[in-house]
Amino acid sequence: MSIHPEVRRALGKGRDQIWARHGKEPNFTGCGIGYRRRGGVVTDEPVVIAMVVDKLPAGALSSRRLIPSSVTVDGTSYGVDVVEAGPVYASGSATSRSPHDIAWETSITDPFRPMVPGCSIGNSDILAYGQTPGQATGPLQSPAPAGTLGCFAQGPSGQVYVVSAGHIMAGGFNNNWDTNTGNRPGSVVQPTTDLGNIVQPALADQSGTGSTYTAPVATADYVSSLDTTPGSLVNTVDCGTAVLKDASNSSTSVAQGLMQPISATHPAVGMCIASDGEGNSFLTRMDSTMQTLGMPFLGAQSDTDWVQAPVVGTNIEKVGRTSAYTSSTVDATDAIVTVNYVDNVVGAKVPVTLSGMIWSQYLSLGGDSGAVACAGGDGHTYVLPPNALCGLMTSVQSYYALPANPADNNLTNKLQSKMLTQTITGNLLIGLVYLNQQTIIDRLNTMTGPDHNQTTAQAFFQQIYDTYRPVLISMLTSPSTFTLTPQMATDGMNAWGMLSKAPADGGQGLLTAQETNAIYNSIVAWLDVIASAGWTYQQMQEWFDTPAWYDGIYQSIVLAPTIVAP
Amino acid sequence: MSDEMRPPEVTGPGRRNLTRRGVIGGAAGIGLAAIVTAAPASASTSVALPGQRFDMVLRVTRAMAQFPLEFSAVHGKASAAMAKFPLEHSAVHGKASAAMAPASAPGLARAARKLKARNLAQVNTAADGLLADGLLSKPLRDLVITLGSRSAADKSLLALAAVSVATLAPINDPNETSGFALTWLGMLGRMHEQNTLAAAVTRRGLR
Repeated sequence: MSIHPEVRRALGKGRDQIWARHGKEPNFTGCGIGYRRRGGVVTDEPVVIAMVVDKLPAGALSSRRLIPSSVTVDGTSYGVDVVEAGPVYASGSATSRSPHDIAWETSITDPFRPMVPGCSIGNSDILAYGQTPGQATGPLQSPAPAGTLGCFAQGPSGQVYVVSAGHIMAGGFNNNWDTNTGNRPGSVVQPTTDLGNIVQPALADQSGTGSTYTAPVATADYVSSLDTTPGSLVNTVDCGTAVLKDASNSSTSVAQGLMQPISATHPAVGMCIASDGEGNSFLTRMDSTMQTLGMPFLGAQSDTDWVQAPVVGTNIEKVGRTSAYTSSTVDATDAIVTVNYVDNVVGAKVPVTLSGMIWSQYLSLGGDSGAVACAGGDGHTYVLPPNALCGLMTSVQSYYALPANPADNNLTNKLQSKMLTQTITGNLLIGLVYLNQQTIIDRLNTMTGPDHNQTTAQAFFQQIYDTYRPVLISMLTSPSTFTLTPQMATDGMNAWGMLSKAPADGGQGLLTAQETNAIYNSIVAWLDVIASAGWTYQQMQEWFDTPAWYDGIYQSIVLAPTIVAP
Repeated sequence: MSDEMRPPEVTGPGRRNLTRRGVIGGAAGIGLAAIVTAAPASASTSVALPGQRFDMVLRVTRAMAQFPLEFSAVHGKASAAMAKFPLEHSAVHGKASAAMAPASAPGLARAARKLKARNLAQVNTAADGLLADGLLSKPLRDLVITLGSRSAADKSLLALAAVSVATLAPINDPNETSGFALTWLGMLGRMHEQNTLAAAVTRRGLR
């Protein structure tokens, strides 16, 4: 399903039109080339993808800021698909491993000797530079952001280099102080030859663990320049290297064997360098990165070996410090994106424009910066952002007086990433929840109903929570042992009644009549049916991936005007 | 309730003021239930729950059918919904949704006939406890409040509630206590602990 080169060239011109017109607007994140998405499903229409922080209704925008639905290039009209993404941040992680993190169970923060691609690394000297300009020494008060060791490269004299994102190697955006004058560099961050020591794992991952892996394993020696001039399109990579102190402290095997090593048959496509809080991941091209470094992968012959240009729609996989193994798809290429780097000296964000980028979704989180994505994987082993439904969860917990268990955020994320994201209908349901999240929160904040109804509903859902939380955990842990039972259906139907029935009938009346009918006809009624059939997890997933089922739900949902459909 | 539907008056070991006839009858009832369980349900027309116990369980079923919601009002429309979906699926095609039933004596009798001996014994125990407090003749409000106060301590009530669930939603196995039976009694228990149950059942108009 690759885009024809001529169409891609034309779309590139269309992308440039959109960027020229909207690139400096605060709500505009970037634009690239991909396929249109409709109702959460990728179509076969090549379009310019315009990314905005918030999709606003046309009436709320001036005509100048309204992104056109199409662009004309050489007399041919091409569609523009507007998606929500951003704001985007260079995705190092300044937080240590925590049991409340989404990926705490799988994050790769252990020490590795020899070091391997996918493990945690960080600059251990950054605060010595940043805290006191002009002085290269000083106590470390907080660790530099943790990132991921992407791969190893072979230097011309036989040295072995660690390769990662530039902002991980440098310990942040702006550690390149002129140590002689104390002056900050100009608009271009100049590379230096001594950017401090690299430790593995990153100091951020050593705090509180009793680890003593503070001895440097490498010396950062190069970070690619980033031009911060507004509108500059010269930045295409964000990479850096550190020369190993001991060349034998390297293995090309990927951490925990989670992925095959980079090779001619498992070529590298991109490097994770940025993400937002909504599941959007941005990568620089790996072919550009290796050419910038001018070195081959360890074991390869030239800097053009073992790389592959990104193609929209193809699967990619990566192993990173925070989210470990994930697989997604290339959703756009040739993207021009504004990435915010955090200046760790003054704490301000520095917007930098990067071009030629790859847009993917649910591939990486903060701390995965530097991870190399290779061609392959199933395309849907996702990681979801930890706080995407935080507001909704808090409202639900408060409304039903449920325990405020931080691990429940992790659980709902797993429900999404392990189950719902695997099917087209599951993705539709996720989209429905996300798009209607604020409406749900608003109603929970204002529609408590009579006290006696509220206390009844609270007791009911507290019991449901206690009963079904372990069931949910079991289902996600051992899907093959799960079967939907009639008891679950009966509970589900009564829970539905609680939500939808009018207060006079003992319910909470949280839904309009149209919403009640739409959701009942498309989703709830089927609970009875598939429970009577005693469906297994696998059967449910197969059905959720049936286009007719997806269409049926979608057509029912759109009948309720107050529900925002994806 | 008609005489032909009402089973013979038999009491069990959990009942106060036991009579010799009652004890024998109760034991016989449990034994009969075991036989009925071993055979296909349709092979016997015997009624597993005897006498006032049957009426007590039916009363609990009627309470469940009304509180906190009208049970039948949230079920039973799935067939209509299915008709809107033009799809075929081997595992679903031709399946009816879980039909709902009223809190009726014939429905309860059908559910009770499927009880295994151990569950039947627990139902009897639970029913006897409720009968001993005179709840057969008291308003449903009092019955629900009592269920809430006892749900944590009296595990036999779960077996009784499971028969009620299977009566109202025949798709459910009356021996299965982990579903709505647990939800319902758990909810009542929580409301009792939170001192909100009496007000809620009163406002729902249970009598």
